[in-house]
Amino acid sequence: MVKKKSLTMLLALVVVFSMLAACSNNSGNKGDNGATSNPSNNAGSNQSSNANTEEGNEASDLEPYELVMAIPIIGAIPKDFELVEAEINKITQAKINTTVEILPIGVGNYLEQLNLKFSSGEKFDLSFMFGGVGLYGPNVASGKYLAIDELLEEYGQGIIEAVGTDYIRAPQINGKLYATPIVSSYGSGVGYYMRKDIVDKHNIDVSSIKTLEDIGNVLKIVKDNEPSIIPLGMTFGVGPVSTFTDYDNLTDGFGILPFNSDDMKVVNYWETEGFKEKAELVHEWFKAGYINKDAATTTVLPSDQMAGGRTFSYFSPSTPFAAQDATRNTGIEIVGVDLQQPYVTTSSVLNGLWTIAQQSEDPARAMMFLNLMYTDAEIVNLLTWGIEGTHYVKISDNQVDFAESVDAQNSGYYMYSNAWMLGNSRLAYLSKDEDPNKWEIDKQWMANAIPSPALGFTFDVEPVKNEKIALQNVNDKYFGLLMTGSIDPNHKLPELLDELNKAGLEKYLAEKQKQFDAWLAAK
Amino acid sequence: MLTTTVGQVKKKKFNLKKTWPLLLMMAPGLLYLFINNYLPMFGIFIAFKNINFTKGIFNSDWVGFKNFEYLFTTADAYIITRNTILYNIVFIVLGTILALACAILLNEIRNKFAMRFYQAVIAMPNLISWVIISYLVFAFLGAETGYINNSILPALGSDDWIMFYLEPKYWPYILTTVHFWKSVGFSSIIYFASLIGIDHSYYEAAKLDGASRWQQITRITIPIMTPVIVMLFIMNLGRIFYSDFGLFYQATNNSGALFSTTATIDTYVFNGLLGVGDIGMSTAAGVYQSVVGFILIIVANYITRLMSKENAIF
Amino acid sequence: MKNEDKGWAIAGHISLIFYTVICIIPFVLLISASLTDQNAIYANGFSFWPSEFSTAAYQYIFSSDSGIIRAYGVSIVVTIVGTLSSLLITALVAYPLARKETPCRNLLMFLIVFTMLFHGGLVPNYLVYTQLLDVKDTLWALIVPGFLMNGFSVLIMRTFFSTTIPPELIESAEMDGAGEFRILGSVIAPLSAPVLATIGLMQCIMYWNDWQNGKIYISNPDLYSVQVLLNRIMEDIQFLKKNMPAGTDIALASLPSDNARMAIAVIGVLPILLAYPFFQKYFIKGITIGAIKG
Repeated sequence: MVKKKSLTMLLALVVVFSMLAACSNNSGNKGDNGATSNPSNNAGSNQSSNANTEEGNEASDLEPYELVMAIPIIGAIPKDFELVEAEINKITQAKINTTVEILPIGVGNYLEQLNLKFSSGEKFDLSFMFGGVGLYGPNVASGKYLAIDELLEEYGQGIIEAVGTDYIRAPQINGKLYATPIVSSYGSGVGYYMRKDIVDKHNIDVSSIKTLEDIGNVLKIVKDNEPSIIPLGMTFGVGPVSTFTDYDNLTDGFGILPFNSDDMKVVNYWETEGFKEKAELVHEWFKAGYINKDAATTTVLPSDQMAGGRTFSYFSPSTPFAAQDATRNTGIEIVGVDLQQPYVTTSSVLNGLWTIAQQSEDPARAMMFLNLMYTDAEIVNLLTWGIEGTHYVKISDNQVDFAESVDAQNSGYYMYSNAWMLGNSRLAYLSKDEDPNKWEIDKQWMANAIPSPALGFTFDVEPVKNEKIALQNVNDKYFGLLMTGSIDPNHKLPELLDELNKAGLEKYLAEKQKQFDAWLAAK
Repeated sequence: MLTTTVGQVKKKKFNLKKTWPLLLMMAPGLLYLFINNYLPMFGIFIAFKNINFTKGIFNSDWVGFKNFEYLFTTADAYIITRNTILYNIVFIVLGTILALACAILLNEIRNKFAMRFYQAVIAMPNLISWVIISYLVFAFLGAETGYINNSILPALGSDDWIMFYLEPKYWPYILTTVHFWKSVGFSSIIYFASLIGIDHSYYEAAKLDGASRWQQITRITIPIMTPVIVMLFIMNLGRIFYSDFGLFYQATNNSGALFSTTATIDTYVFNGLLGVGDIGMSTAAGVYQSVVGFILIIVANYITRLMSKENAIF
Repeated sequence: MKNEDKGWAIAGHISLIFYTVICIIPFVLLISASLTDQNAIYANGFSFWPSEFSTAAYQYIFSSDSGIIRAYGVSIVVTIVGTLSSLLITALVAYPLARKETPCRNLLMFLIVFTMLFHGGLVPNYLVYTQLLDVKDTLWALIVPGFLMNGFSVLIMRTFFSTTIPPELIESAEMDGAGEFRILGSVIAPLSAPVLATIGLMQCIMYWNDWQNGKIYISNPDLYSVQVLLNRIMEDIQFLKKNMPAGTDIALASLPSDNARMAIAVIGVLPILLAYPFFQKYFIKGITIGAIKG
């Protein structure tokens, strides 16, 4: 009895699954047609528009095209977004006969939405990508982006000029370029920021703070004299162990290259003396009560902790204006010290990227529009500030203020917090609160930045994916604890090293060294 | 009984004239099932491929079981599997008992208003999202500002803080408590609904025979509710390799120090794949969890069939 | 006997009061946090009584900007339409499965349960609902994917129908010449108040709390439901805090802070709390009808 029944069930299952297979071929093809028919489309339109540009880039020679672009939005989508989009379209239609559809996607949802768009092959051309989440390499490996070397040469000269030849090829992988970096101050340094009122109260000499030991002394002064205030506010992510980075993290931090390396050997950072010393120092601070007890697990940002009046100081990546920005955002006067001059690594250049989707139906046109985003000040200002007169007014050559009866809360278009993601935010006007010489100061700051020997190298994690997953989990177990001094490194460090080895760190380092050597040789 | 196997029923009793209304009734639901559940099932194949989107999902290369390796070869595989299974066993067994007890006790309350009030309130925690619950848990267990460290411990005369988020040993109890707090009230609704449908004459007859309340509960209530209890139990078994992501990721603030007692297959996969972004590997984890659950359900259903046919699901 | 019954009632009261209290306490925290000044939260954490009282969070929410009123409308429509449709479809499938005359019912039950275990994943579902059917940016995207009928509800309803409906009732209706549809409508439905109320409540809560369908398929802010709105804000903050891309400080300052998030959570939960007694009535109704008929 039971046998007959299971046989029938099995038969039924087979029938169902073969129906599925037949149907899924059809529905899959729908999504697939977009992808597989692209190469022929691309080749065709490349050739036709190549011919056109040789004759001189007349918009009227270009076929009309609808471009789809995705950008992340922090906060609510501005009410007047479509008005601004329409204004931008006036420019793009005149210059490159293109209608641009801009998809504003909430930043928290952005990566998943992008994933779906790439996976489904739906109509899609340009998108911004966050470099810091470490998915650029894997996305290239899974074929989401188009290689843009020739397109950049042909239509992206403006981009090359804006970014600079030093950095334009930083996103290359295996010799091919898949993205363009946003124009920004690429160097990242380390800063230490303190509450000015307490600094003044105890006559702390800010200019003499140079090393972690100096900071330790300052923390002691605050601890002894201000019992209700925690000297150093930390959270998982920023602190003296992860800052003061005198090394290039080589994409993911598993295997790093010290900036002053002579032998170009990839090193396990957690095995180095430097790390051990810092971990022990931070643990001393934790035991002495300088650091908030919940540092390893709290989700309150250090600047917020300070805004609440709980803490005295915190570490943060430094920029030329970090202290002023922090003062403005927290409402507390903050004074800062640059502890380390800025270095430029591949990771810091790749903070923001623009890519062309593999399913783009006209990549040449996408590149043309991208070029406009790096060169056309009108478009950049529209995207940053909105429409002149309606949303903002100019108060000087390069500074603007809100239009009458408009402010940050009720403006129909206020996207200043998004501006840094644009191709070339340098073309935008400055807010009246900012230093009018902001871009000049930035340039100077960058001139001091030291390029890492590994600038331009991106590690391809494909061959060691399994190890990466295991290593990442080990990292999550220990890193926050060691970094905030919450545990004794003498106990935990050997454990960490042991687990890293069990997770396959040696194999990982070997693979990284291999790719790095190959890249060095090819330079 | 005349109806034995599906096959025999089909041949002997299949009467289209009689049954076409029944089949018609099921049509919309079955159509929906097909579109919503069976069509997308082709996605299971993704677990066996190395997806390259330029080639497209259907033309990407087959890689056999390569995407599954990371689940087994890692040194943590034992921990995450053990945690997932152990928590689920406690949740399922204890959870069923607690929800049943809740429903039965609710039924004992004579005051209608009180009963409705309790029932409404205990179902409320189920409505709060895990992110909010994680804030609430932090409000109790946090170090600097937590209620326990700042109010309860000092009241008990203790000077020290307990760094809850750094000590794995507390969390099996914390997570179990939070899980039951959130789900028992809500789960008891189903039991309650089947409970109140029980004919009162049964109880009256039992009372006349001199049965105590406890006897009434164990001899009448629970046996009548057995189909529901068994059904829910089997279904929960099917999810034994899954874990409530919100519970293990959000409520713990994803604190790495707690790994040994709070890491489950789901959190491991999520954290690990963040920087790798491989859709094949994440699908592989899902397939692995589904297959294990599927086997368990088939086995459990089979055993139930052997013991009492009506209680089996299929 | 009476004493024993009283004893049970008291035991019930005590344990349920205990459980009720620990359920209410976190809500008190939640409401208190939503009425606390943000900087006070940074300084002191959450407390049962606001350390510094402030209605700023609710002011922010009900200002025109946040779209909460519209989101309420969306949530209500989706929940009502979704719950009613899904009750109908589920009952239409569960009833035949409970009738022995239905061919292949064990196979069908198996197929339904199978769907509770195996899923294709997000991407294939997205492909089906955007390439095959196009539900992007429509209300259908909030009603149809995933929730319209699920194996669990079918299972419960079927079990209820097979165990609670006395076969004699159906037989006598058949002998009166009633067709299956009529039987369903006049015999089964009135007796099914408890299960319909139960599944109805669960579907209601599922629809009301869903934030995933909206996240995946909706980009038009006019179609956000309350939970989608709350989730958008939460995940924006979580992303920024985790990844800290440059320029985040300004952004984070502009996003709703802890107290606002608590306030949105309170607002999100309120309607269900109010709807619950409504469903409870139907449980009780079921008892009365059952008692009379039985």
